[in-house]
Amino acid sequence: MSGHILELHQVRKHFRNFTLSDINFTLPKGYIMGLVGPNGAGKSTTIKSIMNTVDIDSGSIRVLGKDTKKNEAAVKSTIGYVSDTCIFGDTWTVKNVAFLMKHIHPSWNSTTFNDYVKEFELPWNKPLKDFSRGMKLKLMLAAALSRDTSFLLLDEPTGGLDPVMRDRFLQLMQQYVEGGEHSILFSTHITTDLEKIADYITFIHGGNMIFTGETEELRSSFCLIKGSDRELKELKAEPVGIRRSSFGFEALMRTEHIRSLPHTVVVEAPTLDDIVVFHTLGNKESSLL
Amino acid sequence: MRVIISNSAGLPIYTQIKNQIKDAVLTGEFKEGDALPSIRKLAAELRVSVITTTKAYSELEDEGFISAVQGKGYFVTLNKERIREEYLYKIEHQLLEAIEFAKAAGITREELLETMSFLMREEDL
Repeated sequence: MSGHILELHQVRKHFRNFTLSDINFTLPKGYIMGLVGPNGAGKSTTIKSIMNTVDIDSGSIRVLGKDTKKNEAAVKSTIGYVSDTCIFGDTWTVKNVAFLMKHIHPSWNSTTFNDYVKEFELPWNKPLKDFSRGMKLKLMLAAALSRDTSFLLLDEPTGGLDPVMRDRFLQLMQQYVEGGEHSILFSTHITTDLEKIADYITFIHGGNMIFTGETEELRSSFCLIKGSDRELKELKAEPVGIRRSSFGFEALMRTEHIRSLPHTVVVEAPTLDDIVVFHTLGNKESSLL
Repeated sequence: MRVIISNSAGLPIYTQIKNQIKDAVLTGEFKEGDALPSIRKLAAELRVSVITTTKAYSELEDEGFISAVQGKGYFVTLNKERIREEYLYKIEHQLLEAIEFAKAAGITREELLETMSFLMREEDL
């Protein structure tokens, strides 16, 4: 078997007004990958395709070498899934969840779950409809971490968590992959924490894959430049994205164009946020000249 | 050992980790034969990606500061030859910069050598 936990090959899904097309990436064992992009880019569709709750039109998805469509039950038992909406019923309590999970999953560990419930300060007997988004997330996370899985699939897991819990979340993620056998794919638009702990990034925009590879490689493929309108006119290469103000401009360029830049512009290393934002802004404004 | 990662240092995180481990070796805080934390342990501790710490260790290995023992992890191994080579390279690099400065300011060869030997005497070299 390959050393890959997850393989997506030419995945395509067409909706009436949105198409996810040609998504290709692999995630090796023991690593964390972040799926980034603005809202509506196709992050959730990609994740739901892996869970087979979105039926893809073409292409294939393999988890631990197994096709997700042909081996749905076997594949799902190896995945710890945290969705963007709560998968448990509104009238349920934490107690009900614990009872159900114990009977569904042979590898369920009640002690681990109890410890997380205590640590996350979740009430045992309150109906989930009275839970905040952050509390529901914590519950799903606790459930995902309380059984044997080889792969965590998390859709926007840090949204709704306070900074303290976000920090604890990152620590839990790193502990999960520490042994080198488990992997994590998580989607997010909060890229600041992700930037540090993600080994790989897959960046999608408008249903298309812009980049997949090592985080550092993504950051070094682009540079952020800042300058005046006069310098903007001297640009020989088209920027990826541009933002203009009455004081000048900021633009994201591919690093290969760095030599052709006017010497006077300020060149900086972009953050992941910059990369996502400038791709979304686009370069329409540069043609207004 | 102390490793501090700065977001404003302008250096890639793996370079920051590498430099600090190097310093710990050079100041003798890490001795020959000392075990280093595993790549994955270090990543988890520092809240950085596994690829980042892998890169730091592999460069330290290339530069002769540490070496991997199959199945046991990484250890400090002072490869004196390699370290000497690296320092010689650094010295050449910085001397070259000094020569460039001298050229730019019209400082003569004699003046430069004079400064050099004065400084060496001061430092007891």
